[in-house]
Amino acid sequence: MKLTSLAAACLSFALAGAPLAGPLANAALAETAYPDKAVTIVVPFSAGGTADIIARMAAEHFQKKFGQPFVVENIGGGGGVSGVEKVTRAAPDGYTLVLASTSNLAVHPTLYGAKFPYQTLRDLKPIGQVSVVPNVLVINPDKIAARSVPELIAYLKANPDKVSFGSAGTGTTQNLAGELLMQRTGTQMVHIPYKGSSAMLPDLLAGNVELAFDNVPLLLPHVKSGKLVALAVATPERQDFDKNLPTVAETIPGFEATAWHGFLAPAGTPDAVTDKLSAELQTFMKQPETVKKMQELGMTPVSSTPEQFADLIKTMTAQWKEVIEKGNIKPQ
Amino acid sequence: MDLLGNLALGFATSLSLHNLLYCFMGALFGTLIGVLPGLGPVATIAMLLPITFGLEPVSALIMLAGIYYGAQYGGSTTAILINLPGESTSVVTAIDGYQMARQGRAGTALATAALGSFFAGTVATVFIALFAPPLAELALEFGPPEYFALMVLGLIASITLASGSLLKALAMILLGLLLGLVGRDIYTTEARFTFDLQNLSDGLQFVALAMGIYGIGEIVRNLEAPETRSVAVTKVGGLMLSWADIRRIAAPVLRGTGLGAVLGILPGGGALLSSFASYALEKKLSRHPQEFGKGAIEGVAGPESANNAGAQSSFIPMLTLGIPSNPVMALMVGALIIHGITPGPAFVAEKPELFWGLIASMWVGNLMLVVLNLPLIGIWVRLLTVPYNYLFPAIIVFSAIGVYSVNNSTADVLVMAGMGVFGYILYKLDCEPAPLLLGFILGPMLEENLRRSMLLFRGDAGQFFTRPLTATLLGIALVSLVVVLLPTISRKREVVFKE
Repeated sequence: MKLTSLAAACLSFALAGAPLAGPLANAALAETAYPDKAVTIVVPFSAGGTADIIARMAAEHFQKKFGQPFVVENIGGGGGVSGVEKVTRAAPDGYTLVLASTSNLAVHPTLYGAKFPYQTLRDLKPIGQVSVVPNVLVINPDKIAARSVPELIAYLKANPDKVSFGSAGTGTTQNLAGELLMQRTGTQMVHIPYKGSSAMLPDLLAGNVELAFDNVPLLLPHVKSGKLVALAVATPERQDFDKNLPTVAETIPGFEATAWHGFLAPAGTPDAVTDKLSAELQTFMKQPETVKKMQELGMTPVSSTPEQFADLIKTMTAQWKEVIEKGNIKPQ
Repeated sequence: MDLLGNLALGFATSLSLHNLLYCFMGALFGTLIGVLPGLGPVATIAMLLPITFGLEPVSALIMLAGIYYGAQYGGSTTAILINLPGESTSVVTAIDGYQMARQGRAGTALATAALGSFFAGTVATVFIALFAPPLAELALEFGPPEYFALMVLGLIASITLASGSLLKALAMILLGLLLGLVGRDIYTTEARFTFDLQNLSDGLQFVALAMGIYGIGEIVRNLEAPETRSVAVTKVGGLMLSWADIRRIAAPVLRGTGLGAVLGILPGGGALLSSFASYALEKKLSRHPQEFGKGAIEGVAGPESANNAGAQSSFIPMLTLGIPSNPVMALMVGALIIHGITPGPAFVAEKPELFWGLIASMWVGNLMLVVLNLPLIGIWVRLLTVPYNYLFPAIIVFSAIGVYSVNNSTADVLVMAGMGVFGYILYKLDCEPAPLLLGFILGPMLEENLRRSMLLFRGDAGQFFTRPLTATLLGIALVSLVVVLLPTISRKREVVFKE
């Protein structure tokens, strides 16, 4: 762990130094003319998911701007570990990039312990965050009488270990959000992991599990039909899809449990390359079509600098490390 | 109930010229993809997804659905002709279908599959139109304990899949269960039997396993004795079913359709179970059970109808609850969400033209598939007359591409190769692989639901018997087990099923 924080510190130095190197790097760039051949964007999930859609949209944009093919390669398996690992071992020349999520970057390296094949900020270089996927706290109204976060906390305190909360799997943000809720309020629930959110949904609707944190597109139709009740959203601020829905943080200050995605390159990729990609990525994220499409997919589009993205990874790794260790969520 | 009005709206939508075109394209693409071993509908739909962004949602959905059921049809074709089930549902078809092909009845087997599927598709379409919303509620009655009980029943029924010795069948099931354990445990995230290989952390891939054991294993064993094979396949045989055939398949098709339509509603693997369940049922009811495993036409008709009906009714939880029952459905949900439509309880009321248009297009698509496939059968069958030393390298190459394309993983290709050797060993030991594959499919679901139930029950196993549905299913399982183990019946079984 010490090594990692050292590496992280080095990296943040390097990043802090980047603006100074800027003009020089640009000069170098004109000569190297990146990219002069096809670029692979690894998506560590199967095709058709939200991450895949963002990657394909971004690839199309890059392709138009840089005049070289940007090919999306889906390497599913192991919750994304296989795909990310492959990128950490790729040549740091900017021709292999990855679009990874919270779990890959801020959870797995802690969760899977010493044998895990990569450390995010040691082995990868952030380019920019692209999205926030808000998690909403929902309950099955037939099973839990509470209709607000304070009522829910009171109910959980009065009924320790009675409520089961479902998640998309151990170590997903949905799981960690539930753990965070328990740890911050000193309550006890039983965690029931599933293989993905859509496997969990029938049991939530039927009331076999009574509570869950999950993303908006999945849950919204059932909240509208009244089968589920949304109590709050787990982002720092209220979200556009429903401004009347409070945040969990309004009751439990600082509560944040969202999923997000971002682009990274292998560690050691020249600044000239990542700066060029970062600038183009930020342009792409601000386009009205991008914003609209991402909102339709239930995501909040984000345009960020490499430094901001690195900070997010660092903060969130620390937060989830604490939750994982406190909650003893670990193999063995 | 304004069913007629709804269906009229549906047909008006689906029979518009461009929707017919998309339906045809989907069915055609699906068939072609299904015929290429291992290249499944998931990869195809994922590739075509960007194209659908620009289409009307209803056209997009009609095309994607066409690919889905077209691939189901096509998958059976390779299972029958070259013993290569590209999808979990065609594993069962391969058992008797391939034997029929070896006896020179490939055309009959393919025609049976096509007609059985068409009938099942037609019935299932009406079934969805009549009962979709109430059936979705029924799916919610199935919680983890009910799934657990259903899987227990499925495992016991799987014993009947084998036609050889009972002991070997049990050993195969157990081996299948063990292979199913490979990968990260979803409760503790502990890696099991992965030897620290990231590629194994999701477990062995079904397509790689099935194509290795069946397809590659079959090639090895054909190459061992080339002369027997070439004799078998040059006899192509007629396409048409005789009256005797039609009489034999009528009841299995009906029963298969019923089973598939009902089990398909369960998002947790129901459609998958239906073809296995249908095979087991037909073998139990048949007047010539000795033919099963050796080219019984019922063994093709029943499971093929069941899998098509199941594929169709698995649209119910997808459209009315937003719950995809397999990766293909998940992609379709994704496609809808891109168009700003979220499937869910309000979907039928809010988007009637989409819901009913899709349902009507399913029937139109099934009709197209029959029209498309019956003439193609002649061509597919002629493939078998290609000399084997040209055919088998092509099969291996396409299989490798197909397996690789699922996860872009070379490890999966290696798994397929290893499983090919394993399949050959099983053949030498006279062990049938079907129970192994069923064990492999059911094992993880069995474990997952048992442990989930125990968590929900807070460790009190007695609750399995206080839930009426669970208790009933477990009761049926117990009775089936007794029937299998009863000495008189099992003796009869051995006589009857001896090869």
